[in-house]
Amino acid sequence: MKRRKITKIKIKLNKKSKDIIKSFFLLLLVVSGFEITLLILEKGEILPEPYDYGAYQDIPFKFNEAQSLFSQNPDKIKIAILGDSRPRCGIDPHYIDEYFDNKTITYNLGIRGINFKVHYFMLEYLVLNRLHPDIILWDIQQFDFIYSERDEDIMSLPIVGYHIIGYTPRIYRYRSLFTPSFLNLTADANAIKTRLSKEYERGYFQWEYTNYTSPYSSMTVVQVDINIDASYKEAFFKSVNALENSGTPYLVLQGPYDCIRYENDEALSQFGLVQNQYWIDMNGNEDLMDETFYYNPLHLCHEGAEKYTQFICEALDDRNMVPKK
Amino acid sequence: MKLYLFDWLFLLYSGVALGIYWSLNRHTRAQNAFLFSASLVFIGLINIYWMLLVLSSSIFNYYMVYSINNAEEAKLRKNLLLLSISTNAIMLGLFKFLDFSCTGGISLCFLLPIGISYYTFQAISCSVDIYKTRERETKRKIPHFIDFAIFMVFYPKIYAGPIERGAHFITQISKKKKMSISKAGSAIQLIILGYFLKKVIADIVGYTIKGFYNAPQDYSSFDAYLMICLYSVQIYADFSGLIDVVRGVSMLFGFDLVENFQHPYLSTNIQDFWRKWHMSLSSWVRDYLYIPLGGNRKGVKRTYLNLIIVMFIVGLWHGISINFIIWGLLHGFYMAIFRELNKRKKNHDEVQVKKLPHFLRKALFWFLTFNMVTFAWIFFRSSSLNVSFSVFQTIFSFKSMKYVSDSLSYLYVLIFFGSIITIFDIAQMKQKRPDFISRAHWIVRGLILAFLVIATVLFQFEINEPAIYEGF
Repeated sequence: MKRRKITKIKIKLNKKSKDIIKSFFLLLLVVSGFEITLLILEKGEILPEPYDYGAYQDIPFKFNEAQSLFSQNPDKIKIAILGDSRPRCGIDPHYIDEYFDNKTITYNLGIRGINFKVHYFMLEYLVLNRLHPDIILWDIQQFDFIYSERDEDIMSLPIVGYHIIGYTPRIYRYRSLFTPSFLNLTADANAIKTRLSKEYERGYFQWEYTNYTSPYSSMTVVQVDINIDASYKEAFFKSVNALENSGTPYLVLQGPYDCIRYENDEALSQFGLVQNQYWIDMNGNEDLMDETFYYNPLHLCHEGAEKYTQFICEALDDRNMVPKK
Repeated sequence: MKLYLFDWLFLLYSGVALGIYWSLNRHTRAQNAFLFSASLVFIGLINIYWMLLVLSSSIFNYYMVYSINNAEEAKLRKNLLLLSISTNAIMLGLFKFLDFSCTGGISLCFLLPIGISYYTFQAISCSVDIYKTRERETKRKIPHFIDFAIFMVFYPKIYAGPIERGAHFITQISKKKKMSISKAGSAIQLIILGYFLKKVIADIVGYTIKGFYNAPQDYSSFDAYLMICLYSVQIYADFSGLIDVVRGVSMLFGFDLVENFQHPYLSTNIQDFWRKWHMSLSSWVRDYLYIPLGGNRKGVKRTYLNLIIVMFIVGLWHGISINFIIWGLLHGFYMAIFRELNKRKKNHDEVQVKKLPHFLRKALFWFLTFNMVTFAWIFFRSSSLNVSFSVFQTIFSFKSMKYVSDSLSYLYVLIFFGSIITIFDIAQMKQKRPDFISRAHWIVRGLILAFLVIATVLFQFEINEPAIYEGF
């Protein structure tokens, strides 16, 4: 009977090759260790969101939704609406898309209660560097210069991050090497997500008319007495610079108020920076005086939003910012 | 199709190509034929016309090389050489002009074909080398067309060179390829390092200075100076990172490409800088322009003129733009002035700085060289001459700082990334090799590589910014 020979394959490696294998093994070990540690920290909910959004949980929620919407519609012209609570309930993204025969895909990133520091944060770090819209509608108002204590935290984090290592303090991809980037920016709890997804339709918050009656019968000019902090002017100035340097077409809007034209000399002089052909001023516009357009003196209801959005669409059309229908 | 070098598609394509390439290792001819096809397909995926252009250029240049080698009469050989050089130069000049006309508002608008600046220079060098050899000896063996074509179209180096010489590259093509663990390890190390340099350092620094060149007048003088220093860091990290990836991928295919950088920013004079910066281009212009023009053999004035002419052409090689021309001329003047000062120093040996201690003298010369290079980059980076002047105006108007916090952040970025680059360069200088990581103890090497991978994953930009030298 023949005995089967068992051949042993011996691979001879010199010291250099052995060292290479060992160093790559160590590399694999360290990177995997890093990944597993992050995974454990995340599962244990020990790893916090790098930014403390504080009261602004809408930011990560809306950002995620906008990013997902834009990536699902790569061939459409992506329009992002940026601003505070007034565009949030005053500009209807669906109306814009219908107006332009659905060649566009619009998302409303309006966040209530934000001021220019948060505008700048969103514009510079989220919208321009991560969302990459084709057109930006930036809705601003004089009250966006008002100081708010709660914004200090949200602004200090990115600025500290930026100052230390000079990169976009986007949400660090520390969750996992294999986590898709759109999952990096997440709202804290599922409950918040569920609430917000019910609240918004493409970021637009729809307010129905609730028998609001205007205290004014004709257009009234109201002088706003606010002291503008230099850091807010800086944030506004930086936002304008970021927008211009990005090369992304934009339209700066100042939305309407019910029968009121608010004025603050210092704020208006700052607005001089953006008063060019891409500036639409509806502050005190008489076509939007009807009280049925408003939910309260500062905010439009759905009917008013449609009218205001129509003006915006016409302005976009006049400036050929969106291809002709 | 956009296929940037720092894109996962490039890595995927290379992975598949490497798999097939090494499976054909027993048959060198088949392996080379595959590499040639893979390179053409790659270029064709980006732009089919660019593929046809590089293919025609390869056929034409192969025919030229073949004819020069076979021509019996010296006059005919010379004419063929002139035809080869002029055709390549005209083709390069024409596309550069058409590219320039795009920005100049003229309707003749073409995209600059990928790698044209690199492969036309390679083709010229090949014809000249064959001609020179033929002048000395009888006919030499001409490589197979496929081997020559790989020299022209090899896809990892089509993006940004380095500019190879036939004698160095073609001889590697016909040989049977061998791969070892240490070679593959060095290649992967280079790729990791290249990605870190580009995706972390160059992109972050590039982002920091992005706004500056759009509106330099909005910045203080100190900020403007920091910005131009940051650009020096960006272009070096960007270009050397690019070359590291190219060399790493080529090494995986079994090719050793020439080095392009040897810690250039540690140079203490401008001549030394050009010996260490974009070495494949600087050695090319030395061998095929400076020396044929007479080099330093035709008197002092002619030497200076030659230096200026050569650097003028280096400027033009980057593109037909007044900014590139000024950048090139400026370096030409730097070189001429350095030569003159060096000559005087040798003649009189009484330079005042000699009284300084050695270390201080070195530091002073380093500072001067770095600043000369950095100020010249202003022309290279600016989109127009007006922007360049505006940058100079901002720096020398001594405008006070606008936002101290911003200035500090720029300074941090410069110190942080400048230090990383300097540490890498010192390590490279000490080890006398670009893949300096290979010499470290395996634990140190493993930890450095892990740091580079984690840092790249954490801090890389999501925007796929093409590398600066991918545009030439």
